[in-house]
Amino acid sequence: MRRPRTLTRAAALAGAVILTAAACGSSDDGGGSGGGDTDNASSEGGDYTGGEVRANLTSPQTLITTDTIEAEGSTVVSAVYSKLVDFDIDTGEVVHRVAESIETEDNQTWEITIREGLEFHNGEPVDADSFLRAWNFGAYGDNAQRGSFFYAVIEGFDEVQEEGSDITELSGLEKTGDLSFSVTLNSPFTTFEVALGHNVFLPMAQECLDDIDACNLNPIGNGPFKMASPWEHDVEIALERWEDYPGENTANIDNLTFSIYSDNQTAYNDLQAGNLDVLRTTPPELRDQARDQFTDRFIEVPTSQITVMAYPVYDEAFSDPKIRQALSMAVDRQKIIDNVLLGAFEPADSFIAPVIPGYQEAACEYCQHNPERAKELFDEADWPSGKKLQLHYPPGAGHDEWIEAVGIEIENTLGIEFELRNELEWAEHLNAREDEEMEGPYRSGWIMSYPSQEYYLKPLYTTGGSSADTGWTSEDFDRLVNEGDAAPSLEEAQEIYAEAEQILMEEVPAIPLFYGRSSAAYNDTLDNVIYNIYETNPSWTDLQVK
Amino acid sequence: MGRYIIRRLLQFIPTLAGALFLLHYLASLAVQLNGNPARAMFGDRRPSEAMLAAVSKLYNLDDPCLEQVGNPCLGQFVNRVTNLAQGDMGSNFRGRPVTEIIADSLPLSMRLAVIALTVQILIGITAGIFAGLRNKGVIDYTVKISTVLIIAFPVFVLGKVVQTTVNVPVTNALRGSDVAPDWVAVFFSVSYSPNSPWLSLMVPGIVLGALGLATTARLTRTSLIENLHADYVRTATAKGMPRRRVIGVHALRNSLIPVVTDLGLAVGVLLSGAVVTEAIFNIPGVGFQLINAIRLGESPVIVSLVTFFVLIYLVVNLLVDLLYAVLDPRIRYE
Repeated sequence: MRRPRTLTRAAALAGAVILTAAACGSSDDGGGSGGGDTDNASSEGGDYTGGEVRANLTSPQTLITTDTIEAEGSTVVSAVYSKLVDFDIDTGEVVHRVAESIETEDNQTWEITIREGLEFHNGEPVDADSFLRAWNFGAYGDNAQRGSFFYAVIEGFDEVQEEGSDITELSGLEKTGDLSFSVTLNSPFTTFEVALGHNVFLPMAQECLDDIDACNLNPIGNGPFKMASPWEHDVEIALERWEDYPGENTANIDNLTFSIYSDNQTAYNDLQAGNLDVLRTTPPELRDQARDQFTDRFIEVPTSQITVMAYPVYDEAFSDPKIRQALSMAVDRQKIIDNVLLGAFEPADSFIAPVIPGYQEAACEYCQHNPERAKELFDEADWPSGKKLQLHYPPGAGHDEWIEAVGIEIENTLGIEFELRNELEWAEHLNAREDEEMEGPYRSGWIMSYPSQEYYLKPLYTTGGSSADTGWTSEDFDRLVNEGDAAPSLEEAQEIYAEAEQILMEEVPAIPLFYGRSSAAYNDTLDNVIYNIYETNPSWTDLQVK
Repeated sequence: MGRYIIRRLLQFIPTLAGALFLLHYLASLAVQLNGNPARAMFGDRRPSEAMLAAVSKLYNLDDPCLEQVGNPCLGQFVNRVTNLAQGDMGSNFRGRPVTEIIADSLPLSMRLAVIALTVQILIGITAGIFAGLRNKGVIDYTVKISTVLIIAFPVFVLGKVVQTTVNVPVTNALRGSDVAPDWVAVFFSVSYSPNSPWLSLMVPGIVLGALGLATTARLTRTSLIENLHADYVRTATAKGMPRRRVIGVHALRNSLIPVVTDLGLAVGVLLSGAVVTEAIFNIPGVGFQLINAIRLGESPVIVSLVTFFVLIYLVVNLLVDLLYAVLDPRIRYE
């Protein structure tokens, strides 16, 4: 069953959001016929072409699954491992991969069953133990695994996090059979099934745990690719097709090599010279050139990244929602994107990125550029006369120009002067945010770890949220998010989260400005390039070599 | 001679210790002023306190002195020096020991420096000799204009310009054609290729060497012109010695003293220039490692690498001083 894939082209032309789900085949048959992408990529269609593909990579922090929280490491990890669940490229729906079934009655206790006969690259079985091993290792505080916060929803997390804790296992995890285990959460959390798509929830082979340092260089996965040779620091990470991969999404190519670059401009030059087949991210200043040169081989689709200017609502000047609404409406996002950001972004019209199921298009009145309405709102509110608007951001990260443009937009519309405040380096800037020391709107970015609205709402805007720093609180919002967490099904959760987002759209605790845009480019030696927005990479298994 | 070398080597110790302390102080100051690099690692996603404490501990960033601006963190300094004395330079944020990083990256930078110095010596001195012999002639002006033109470009401009205007088109033109042998394509490769450790470093090496050409050529020229007018050269010519020998052995050898001094200093320029060149051509040498470490705030790497640079600089300058005696018999070390 082969369906022509035109995602990249269509999206590049229209700048469209996600293609409407024309997905063939049902993906919730529990057996994990992996949805659209796997139908296409399966070896039964004779799509295997062999050949080698080279892609660029910046040096990853680590290749240990539980320690990987950045895009470079997870790019490799996702190719080498196979997760319990994946996401359908077109719809973002949960597709079971390693999981045979994921069941729950109350959304608090989850029974996970693993498919039979799966193995790691070294021959060890992928069983319940392999998951418990990984999660317990990741959650244990003294192991300092950077992905540990994803286990915070599981019962017993606080106990294992304590420094020097004697308890080394999460009390919420229980093995119920060779291939099944149960997970008890602190409270009902319907979206847990979606969260399982993050790489910290991958299994780990015993051999890996026995020598973590060796496993960091030479991960032992269970995915469609395996390591061809150990990670050669600052040079390359070479993967090869795993011939015995039992899943449906087998690789079409023989070798996938990540060449490590410290400077993406060099990678771009190598792409032009044909030494590189895929450039995962084009440097912003070269996007215009890339658009002309690679035309339909330059993939621009919205990503899960969202940039906002968050308000220090704890500051009296921003406690009035009218001020917050007025500033937000004063900014012409498209103009800034066209003139300053070289088209590398899309205007944001909500608090949740468009690739997330449940995204509400253009539902946010106060996210639209409307200078007249902005002036009205501003006049109704009380802005101390002569007070300058302080705009905070960290230096050296390419924010100067667009933030100045935001300031100019606001100054021209509302007549308040602004000051650029980039005196604090990144870490100190983050500390100042935590300590509520910001004196005006500050740049804040967010990117999904798993495709759920919950991830854009709870950590950032609930009272006491794990990354909340605006000082904005709303009982209704907290209540709705909690209800969403405990909703009986994902569909219902989506609706309740959407309702919660409406409150944000009304109250505007941050100015939603831009959605990120992918900027991958590839050479014409490749075929069947399907961009997976949930991995922010071309789908490596689908890739073919002409 | 032997005693001189020993005395010089002993002088290394206070210099290195001073450099080490300064670097340590600056690295601590960077953390004190810019905040904990462990916090920066998490970005907008805020880590829990326990998490941040665990990661800080892992990278030795949990010392309270790192929160007091201006505190020299002497306790950490003593630890660092003790570890260093035992051959442990610490590790970067990826858990890679700095000794391993240096062992992997140093050969690359050495090769790059050898190529650059060879270019500088061969082309620079040759051009200088011709310019000196034809004082104010066409060759003299050509050398002057061309070398000054090259030195006018900062290395990052020169490197990028060469990469986009030479390497990329040539590689494209060569692909699929059978005319040129494979090594030509490797020679012009855009980035370093580990399979051809020398050939793919040629272009970056030439770019790096080109930076010092002007100084070498000009110094050789001036010095040579000066010596050609010296009494001993006139004597040599008067007693009927062949011109080739007068210039090659008597005049040139004497003229090379300032050039050699400059080449010694050039090693320092090469080290700093390598930081930029290695980044442009994606060569994982010491400069590349240094720039990445600075970006992430990996103080163990920065301190050890720069101390290492200081050591190289000291050794090279010692060698230069010893070379004087070889070039000029009048110089003796007691």
